[in-house]
Amino acid sequence: MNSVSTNFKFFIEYDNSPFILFNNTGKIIYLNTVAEVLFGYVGQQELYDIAISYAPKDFGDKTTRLELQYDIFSFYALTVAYENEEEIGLRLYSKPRLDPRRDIDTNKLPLTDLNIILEANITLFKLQNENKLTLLTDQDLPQCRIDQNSFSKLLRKTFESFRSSDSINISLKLVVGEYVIIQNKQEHIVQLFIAANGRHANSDEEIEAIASYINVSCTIKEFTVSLQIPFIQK
Amino acid sequence: MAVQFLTQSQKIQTIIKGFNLTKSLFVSSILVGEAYTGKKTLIRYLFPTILFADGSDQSNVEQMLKDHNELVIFNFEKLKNIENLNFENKRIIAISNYISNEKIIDTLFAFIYQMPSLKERPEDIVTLAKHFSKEVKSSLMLNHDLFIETNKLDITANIHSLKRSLYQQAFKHSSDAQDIQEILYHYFLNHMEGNNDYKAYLPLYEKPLIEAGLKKFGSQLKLSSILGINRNTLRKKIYELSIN
Repeated sequence: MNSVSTNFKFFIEYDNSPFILFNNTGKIIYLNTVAEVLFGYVGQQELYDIAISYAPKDFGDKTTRLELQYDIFSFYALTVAYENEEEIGLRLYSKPRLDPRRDIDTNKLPLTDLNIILEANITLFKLQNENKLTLLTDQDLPQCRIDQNSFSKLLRKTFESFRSSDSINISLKLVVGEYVIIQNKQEHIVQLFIAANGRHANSDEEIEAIASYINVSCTIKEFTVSLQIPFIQK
Repeated sequence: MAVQFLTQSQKIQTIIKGFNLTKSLFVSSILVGEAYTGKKTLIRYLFPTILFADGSDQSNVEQMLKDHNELVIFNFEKLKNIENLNFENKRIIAISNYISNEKIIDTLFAFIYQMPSLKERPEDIVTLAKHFSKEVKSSLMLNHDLFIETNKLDITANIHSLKRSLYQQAFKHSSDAQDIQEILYHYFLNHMEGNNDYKAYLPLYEKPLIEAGLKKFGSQLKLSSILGINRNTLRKKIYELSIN
């Protein structure tokens, strides 16, 4: 093999799997774009501890199959490598984020202001419930193409699952540095995150089915629902 | 003519807000509520240009769904095989008196709104009574405003019974002696059949006479003088007729 001289850092920077380089005190020396996003959901010390725990006994690298879940991030394996006493690298292998079960003809989908659908569903929810509700959203979010009817149904069902909660916090934001492939095109992701102090789980299967139908990735936990919506603009 | 929708109800204002937000979207919505609560008027007010289809006519609704991408379907509860209707990428507003199959409705519609009955929005009763009293005044060709006895308005069948009670009130307040005689004439014609009817039907005259007299003049003493009868006789009549 011929030796080449090139800067490989670029490929690591834009890799979909997080890569973090720590020094021997746990301080971050380098992290790629997706790892920056990951640190929104997990602490630096926790990942450093994992790196130390799964490090090879001697210089070199070691890959371990391990299921890790940090909110919307799911990993199936990790590699820890070091060549000196000063630096240790951790690479986490992302599970495929979305597995579209249905081909979407994006051209048939109308351009939609997600904030309008969100507000209409909040209005509907408030008609039947008196829960305290807070909304944090980006009002300047551009329009995107989505199945308006199914997405509205998804929101109605999701909100209804929080009907017994004292207070509900909703946030809608564009996720930086994360993408999904729809029709061979890389699309941004918008995340709708709903958190409360109580949730009915009886509609979870239905919520997952509607989400899957419109290729929205859905992460349901005891008191939270996170919807990752493909942000198709063209 | 532009459709007007009168309401003071916060719940209906919220429904209006919801519909206004989704006006530009291709979503399916349903407005469910008791008959005569103003559902159709509300939708006509919010969507003045959208075509209406009657759910009583199944084939017409199916054809209109094929031909149009926005449609209001009223009497939705009368449609059969609703699970086969295709609302994809259409703006559909259904109006229904009740939900026949909750699961199918839940699957078909993105937005499900409950229209409150008049009993659930008492703040609207006086507003609506005042509004419809103009219609009553006009159709009965009355030359005076209607005196509305709000506590006697019937809202058991929502706007339908409200209107009926307004007509009844209007008639009661505008009848002259001849109308009353004619009403009594028809009543006697239909009911007279006993052997002591003179005494049996006398309260029809005496009871309202004494009740109105007591309200107007306040005391039995004064009323006995006005009626020209002995006050003991009046007291006896009040007791016999169970007047409070």
